[in-house]
Amino acid sequence: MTTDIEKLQRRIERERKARKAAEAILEEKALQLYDANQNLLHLNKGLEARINERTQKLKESEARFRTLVETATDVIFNTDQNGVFTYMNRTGLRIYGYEEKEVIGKHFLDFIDNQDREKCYDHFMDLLENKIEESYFEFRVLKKSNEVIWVGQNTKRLDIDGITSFTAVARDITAKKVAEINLVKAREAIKKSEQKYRSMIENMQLGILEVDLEGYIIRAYDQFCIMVGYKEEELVGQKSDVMLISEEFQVEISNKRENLESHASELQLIKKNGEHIWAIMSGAPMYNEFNEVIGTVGIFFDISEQKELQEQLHGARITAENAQLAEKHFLASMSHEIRTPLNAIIGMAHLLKDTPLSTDQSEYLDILTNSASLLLGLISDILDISKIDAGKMDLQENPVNLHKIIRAIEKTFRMKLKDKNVEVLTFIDKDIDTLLLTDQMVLNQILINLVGNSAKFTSDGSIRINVIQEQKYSGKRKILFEIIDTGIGISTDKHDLIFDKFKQADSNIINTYGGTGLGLSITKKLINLMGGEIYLESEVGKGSKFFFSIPIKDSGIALENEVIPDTQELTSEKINQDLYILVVEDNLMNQKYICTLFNKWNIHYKVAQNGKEAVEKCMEEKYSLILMDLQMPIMTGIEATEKIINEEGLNNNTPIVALTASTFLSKKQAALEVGMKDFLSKPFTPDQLIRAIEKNIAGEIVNIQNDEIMGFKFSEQLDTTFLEEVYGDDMEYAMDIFEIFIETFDEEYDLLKVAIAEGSSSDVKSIAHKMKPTFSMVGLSDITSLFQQLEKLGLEANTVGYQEHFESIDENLNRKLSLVKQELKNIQEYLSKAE
Amino acid sequence: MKGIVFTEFLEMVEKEFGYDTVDDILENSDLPSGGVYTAVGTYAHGEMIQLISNLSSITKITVPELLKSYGQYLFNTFLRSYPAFFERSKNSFDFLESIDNHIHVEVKKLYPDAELPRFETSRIDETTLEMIYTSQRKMSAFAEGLIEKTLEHYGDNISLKKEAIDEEGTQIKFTIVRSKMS
Repeated sequence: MTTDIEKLQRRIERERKARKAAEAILEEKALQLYDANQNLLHLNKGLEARINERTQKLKESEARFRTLVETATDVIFNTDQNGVFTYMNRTGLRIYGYEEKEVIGKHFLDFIDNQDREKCYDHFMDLLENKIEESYFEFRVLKKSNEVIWVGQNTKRLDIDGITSFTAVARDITAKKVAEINLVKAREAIKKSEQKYRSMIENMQLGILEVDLEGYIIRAYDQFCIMVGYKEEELVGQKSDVMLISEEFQVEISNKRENLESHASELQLIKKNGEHIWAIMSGAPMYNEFNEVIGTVGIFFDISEQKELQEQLHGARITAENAQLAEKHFLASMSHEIRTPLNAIIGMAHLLKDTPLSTDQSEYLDILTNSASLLLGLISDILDISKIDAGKMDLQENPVNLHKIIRAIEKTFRMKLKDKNVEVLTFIDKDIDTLLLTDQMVLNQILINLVGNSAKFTSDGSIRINVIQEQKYSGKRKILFEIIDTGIGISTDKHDLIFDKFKQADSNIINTYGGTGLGLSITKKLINLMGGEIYLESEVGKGSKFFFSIPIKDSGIALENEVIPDTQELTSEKINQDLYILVVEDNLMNQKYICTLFNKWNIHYKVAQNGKEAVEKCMEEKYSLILMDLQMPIMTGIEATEKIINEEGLNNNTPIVALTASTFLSKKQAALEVGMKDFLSKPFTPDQLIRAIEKNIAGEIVNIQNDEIMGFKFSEQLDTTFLEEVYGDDMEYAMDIFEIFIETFDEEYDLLKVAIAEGSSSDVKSIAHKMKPTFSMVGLSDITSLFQQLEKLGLEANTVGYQEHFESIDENLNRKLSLVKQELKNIQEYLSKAE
Repeated sequence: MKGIVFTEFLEMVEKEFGYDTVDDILENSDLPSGGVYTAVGTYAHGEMIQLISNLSSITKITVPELLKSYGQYLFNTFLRSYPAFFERSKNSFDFLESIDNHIHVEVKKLYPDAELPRFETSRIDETTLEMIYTSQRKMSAFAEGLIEKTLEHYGDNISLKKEAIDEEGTQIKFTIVRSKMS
């Protein structure tokens, strides 16, 4: 059977084919395996190269970082978790000054300055225990050189695979730290210095208190606490003003504090025990370091003791002043009480002399008169000496015409010496061409004393008075006065003696010449008082020369128009019948003395017993002159004078002459101040009385006597200088002007009054301007200057100012106006007579 | 389908039915491979279906019967060729569980193009293992032969229950109960 063979053949064929197919598959697989292997090999090589490359890069990077770390300017190091160094860069080694082997393996605390070791340990433990990632800390490192430096260190905690380590970067901050410490030290120094000054102030017994802006106490220093008796803790937080300051000062001090004024005030503090003490407080705002005001500091000084002392002193002063016043009063009274009876004695003696007397009686009367005069002189001198010694002699400087004074003295002594063969000669320097400011009374007394002394000891020859200007400088002149006589002279050894009290050159002198021996002593003292010294040149039998020079202030007022009229010698017969004199005197004896003299001289008079009566009489009649005693009951002479001059009546312009026993300038000054023209010291001689009358109503007398030859004389109460200059002899012109003035005055003055009342400044200004010059034209130059001021105030629109000013103008003007009217009358009379 | 399945099948046919039957089924089938198989090659699944169907026609034995017998036959081949797989498991449950998890993983490494059935196992209790067979080849009888032989190999006293999960037979559940732990 072919079938079996065929089957076998197919089987073999199949198996051969299967083997070949298997071989092909295996070959293919082997090839794939080879390729895979090749690929793997290739891959392996690439991998190696990349690893090498990466390794190289890593090395480079590490080198780079290491260089960076090593060359960093900061200290960089690592420690393990215990704080033991595992690495430190070169900078660190260099800065700290150690070798690497000295650091690695050592604990970081070993390198920290003792002062900071504990602090650093605590900080490190904090980092460790609280797992703090990063921190910054400043501390001091001890270098190998034992030098200590400050470092600021940033520490970073690293946790890698459960192992903790630290990396730190530290920087030398010594310079910064030192600057900081210095700043702190400087602040401390300032604080210390402040403290030092505070304690100094405290030691100076000055209490310091600091309060805030609301016045609450912030701080009270020890001394202040002692001062007020509180403890500081009792004061702090309290309102200072209310707690410590006496009520009457609270508002003032609070205001000053709130206004931040620097001030010093006296105030009373209240102590804890309620006691009040006086203190000086200096308060000033207090600033903080940003210059902001944070309160006030007050420095207190206890002045209680000083205050007490001051009060005691004040009391003592008042006592002393009272004593002084009492003394002054006593002297004044003494003077008055002694002189009044003496005045009567002398007066009566004079009257007695005019009665028919026997030879004996006449002789006794002479002795009586002489003794009384001597006694009066003695008393005056004693009082003068007392006053000078007590320093009670006040110099009253007034403008004085020296020419007039010398001429008056010349006249007086010519009269006195008319019975002797003694000539009185005067010389006065023409350079003295202004009014001088000096005390006329005192200068007169000096000159009269000296000339009187010469007159006493000169029986033949001359007495010469020389007044010479030695020097003239700004505002002052130095004037030399010489009194030269041809008298008995004084021996050189007595020259000093004669100026002593109660000493005369010769004990016989008192017998021959009389005198108290006080005259020259007083004179010397008065000259000293005026700033000069008295000198004497003398030769026995030939005469004496007393001289002194004193500085006198210059008034600056020229003498040009000071024409000194030659006073006519007056006798009783010449007194005009038209004179009508009011005698105001409470002392009957004095009354009688004066009245007898007036009767003798044919002068009309009326007597008033006191000031009140005088005022009444002045309402009824007009007098030519009033003689007024100053010390009177019911109403004093001063009061009466004021009323007569200022009140309604007929005698507003009548000259009033004071009669006074007081030698005190203050009394006389008061008399002049109220408007009296002159004064006559009691006791006075008939001669002195007639001179006083002559002097004060001279114009009238002269006028009457010399009508036809004399030109018109303007009233002394007006500005004669100006009037004479303007009008000269043209009295008709003067009359026209005066008439126009009187006619227009009222209308303009009324307009002014309205403007003033309404406060219309521009009207005040223009009216004042218009009226201003008219016053000068009628001799009221002083009113012109008042109006000038008024005009100025109007210009400034100073309403209150000109209203006040006008009041004084109005007062002044009322009085002056009657003067002008009187003067117009006088001019009219003069002109009618001249026709 | 791997070449070894064909070569072992033809070997079993030759042994049981003689080479004439082998030649017969090869000659009467339309086989792209021309009936030439090697263990390392890979062949279409349809060829196996034709071979089994032809064998069933000749022998008058049903295809499932034949497949089950082939499974039993192939187990011995596996045991002979790859003893390491069997030594690794202590008992049948361990082995059956290792098929998907271990053995087929290794097969896939060697033959990435192999199309393998899936055996998902889950232990119901200590003595019961449930195994679900899933394959588009619908050759659960082949699997049953292998399982029976496995159980036999490990000597466990076991009952095997087979139930179809779907009608087509692509999924079959085997419930294997061990009477006693040996």
